[in-house]
Amino acid sequence: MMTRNSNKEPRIHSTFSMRIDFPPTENTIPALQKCPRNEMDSGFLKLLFAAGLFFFVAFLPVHVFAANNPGARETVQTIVDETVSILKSKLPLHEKRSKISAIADSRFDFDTMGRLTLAKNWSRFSTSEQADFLRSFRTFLGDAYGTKFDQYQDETVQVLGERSETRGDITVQTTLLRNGGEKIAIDYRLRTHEANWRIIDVTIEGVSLVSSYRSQFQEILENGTPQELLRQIRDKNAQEKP
Amino acid sequence: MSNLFYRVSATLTLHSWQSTPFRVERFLSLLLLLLVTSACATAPRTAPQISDPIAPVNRALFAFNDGIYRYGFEPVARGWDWIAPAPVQTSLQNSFQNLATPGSAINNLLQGKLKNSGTEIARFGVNTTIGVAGLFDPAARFGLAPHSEDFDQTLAVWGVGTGPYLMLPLLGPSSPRHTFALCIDSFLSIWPPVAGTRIAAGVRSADFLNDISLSWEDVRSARESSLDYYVFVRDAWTQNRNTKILDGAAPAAPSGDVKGEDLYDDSQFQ
Repeated sequence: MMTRNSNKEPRIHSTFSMRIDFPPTENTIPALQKCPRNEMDSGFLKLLFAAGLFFFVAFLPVHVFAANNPGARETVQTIVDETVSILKSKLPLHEKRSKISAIADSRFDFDTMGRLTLAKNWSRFSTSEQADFLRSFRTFLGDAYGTKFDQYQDETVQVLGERSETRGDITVQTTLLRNGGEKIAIDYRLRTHEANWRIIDVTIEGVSLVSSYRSQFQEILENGTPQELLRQIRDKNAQEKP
Repeated sequence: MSNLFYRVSATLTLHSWQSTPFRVERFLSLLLLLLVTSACATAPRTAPQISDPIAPVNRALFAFNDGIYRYGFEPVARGWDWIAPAPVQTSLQNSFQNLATPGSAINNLLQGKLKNSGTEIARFGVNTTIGVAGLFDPAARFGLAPHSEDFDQTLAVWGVGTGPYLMLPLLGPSSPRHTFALCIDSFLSIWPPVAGTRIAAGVRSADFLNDISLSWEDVRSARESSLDYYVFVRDAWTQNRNTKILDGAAPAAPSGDVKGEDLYDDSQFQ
């Protein structure tokens, strides 16, 4: 498992380790050392210090926020680390599945995913149909992708980088290295939900999960009713699982 | 067949047009850069609304292909998968991909990617000799990562539109541009002139079955996790092609005939 631990502390360290002398002296501000003392009236120094203090305070909450809430990249790294450690453990299969399912529930925003796949068809669903859809869609994804972890064979995941997107989203790029040396590009799109980053789409080799299901649902809803789509998802869920 | 898009060749290319001395190459690269950046500028990524005017015909051909795949190719390929150890399958795949490298080098050249073209030629040289006819990939260990390009990608970089979605008998998902490019690529590949048509056809069939032996489980789970397998393949193939054309550098851009609908905008339906 290749891990790239992001260094969270060093980024803010320099800000906090700055010593603040009050009132400021020539020692504090190196540029002032060459100036003759009489040219510098204390009002100017105070102003300078006030400006410095303002910036310090202004950026303080941002740093504190960043330190407490992991970024999108850290979130993906955590999910990868947690999942791999579960897969490598000696737990029985059903326990592995339920643990991974719990991680998925806390890190994926299945409601947003579900809404995005229905898109403009969302309003055609009644409130109870919407709730029904989100529930069945979550089960459907769990069945379709949860069982894939059973075939885990020491694949490794490397978090490569991140990219800013519209709506304040962030895409985190990763590579899955299969045993045969095959590399698969997997991108995770994350959106903040109550100050936490959560995954709203997974793109494998350019194929987006949201886009893929949106097209399929659109095809069914073009001529069919919401009930027809719900029935098809329920049928799929009821099928025997490997 | 549908498994073709599963043939994964991660080609993340960083394009550095500033460092190139040739004017034509620079111009082509600039063109590409503009293409990529304009795609970036228009992203919000939109939902691909793929033009599929002859959907009933395509669906019929898809059913035909899928039948042959499920009851013909897949059982044979699974037999091979059962007999052959995994390293043998991987080495064979490497070897077949090595044969396609000169064609890829030419396409890199046609797209103005001089550096990648050189890398592909070097890969071919190293893997054909030290890599024992391409069975192994020592070039990757020397830092020569593959930059696989085909003529469809070249045409896309030249600004040729893809046209409507087509399902070809036996060959699978395509488009008019892609079909034309397949013909050109088969001329660019080295073996028919060198080895003769019959051997070339044999090599290609072996390559095809070996590929399925490596991907049939993925194809099966893709089939199981879709509600409309035809739509899934159409959508996935198109998205995958677009990503390859953009070298994975930008979010998969929609094809030309798409209305601007942001895939990730849920403000309308909270």
